[in-house]
Amino acid sequence: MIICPTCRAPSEPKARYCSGCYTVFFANSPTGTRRLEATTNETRTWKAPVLFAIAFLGIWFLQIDASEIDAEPGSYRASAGHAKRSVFDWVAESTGFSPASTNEVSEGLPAWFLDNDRQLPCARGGFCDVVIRFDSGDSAAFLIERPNDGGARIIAVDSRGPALLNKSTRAQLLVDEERGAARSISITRRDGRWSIVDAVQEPAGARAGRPGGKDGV
Amino acid sequence: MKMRMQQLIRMLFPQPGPALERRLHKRAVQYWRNALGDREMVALADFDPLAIEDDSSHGFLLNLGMPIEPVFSYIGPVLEQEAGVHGDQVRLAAVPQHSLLRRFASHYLRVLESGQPETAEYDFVTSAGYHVLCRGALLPLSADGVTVDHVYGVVSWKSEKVAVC
Repeated sequence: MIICPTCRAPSEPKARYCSGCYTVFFANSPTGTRRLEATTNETRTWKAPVLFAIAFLGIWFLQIDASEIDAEPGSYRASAGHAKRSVFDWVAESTGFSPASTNEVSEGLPAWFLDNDRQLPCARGGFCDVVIRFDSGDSAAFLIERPNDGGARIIAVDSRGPALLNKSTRAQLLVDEERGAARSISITRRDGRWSIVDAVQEPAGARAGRPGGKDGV
Repeated sequence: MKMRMQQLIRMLFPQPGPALERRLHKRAVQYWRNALGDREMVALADFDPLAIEDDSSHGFLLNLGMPIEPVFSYIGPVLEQEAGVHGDQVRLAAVPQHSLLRRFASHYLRVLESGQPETAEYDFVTSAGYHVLCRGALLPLSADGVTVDHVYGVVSWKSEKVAVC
């Protein structure tokens, strides 16, 4: 039995319309009935603005530079870049896949390219142990490979290494030299690749006794 | 398929100008005119009643192969129930005269004479006190591309409670 929502008159279960008020019954509609010619375009007008908003937000998100390293902390660019990196990290953790997580594999371990390696004190054709201290305060042990041909690579030997390299964009690479001093080299990550950006800093001990320094006065 | 895409595009991006035609009989005439294009006749094979109405429940197809005794090749379920007829190949003469199907389909002679879509209106008051205003359109179709030998019609209505004085 179908009860007409308009006039409340009962109709046969297979009735297609109400004989009392001529309301047409539609089996597919949520209420089982609708009045003919009652549909309007008002319910459809929200789709275009929603699509426009989604497209606008999508373009805005895409134009954010997530590898921005010169942004002043607290500025819009820094905040937007951090937000975009957070989204990428969340997606990577959720899906268990990060296409830029490693550049390649070296010696069976994940490796990242290290560009501008002329300033590295590591000898070519070998490896050297380094510690990388990240801006977040975390640090981990890595290997630097400098093949005879090709660029240097950072190899993660610590289980925390890959995550730290993927999340951070700035770090200090600490290399032990033969004289026992540690050289600190600034490295940054842009477009998925790490690169040395600053000149090798003089170790703190070498400044002692230099003319013009405090101790030399 | 092309008509469905156009409907989808119109639904997602409603034009600021004339809105999508809500009235069934107007939609039918618009569809017929679009289907006619530069041709003399709209071919029966090219006519898609689903482009006018999703389930053709308010449509009917009248076969005028024998103009003296037209026969319904198709009657939409709503009109079928309203007229109280069932089955295939129902003769126009067998449809009750008071039914909307008979009232509107009887205008087929005007379509035969003019070769153009014809519209008609009819209103009545039901025993439950509802004023029903009906509008219909009849569209000439041709199976051979030369003469009008089929008529497709649609009937729609709206009703409102008659104010009790």
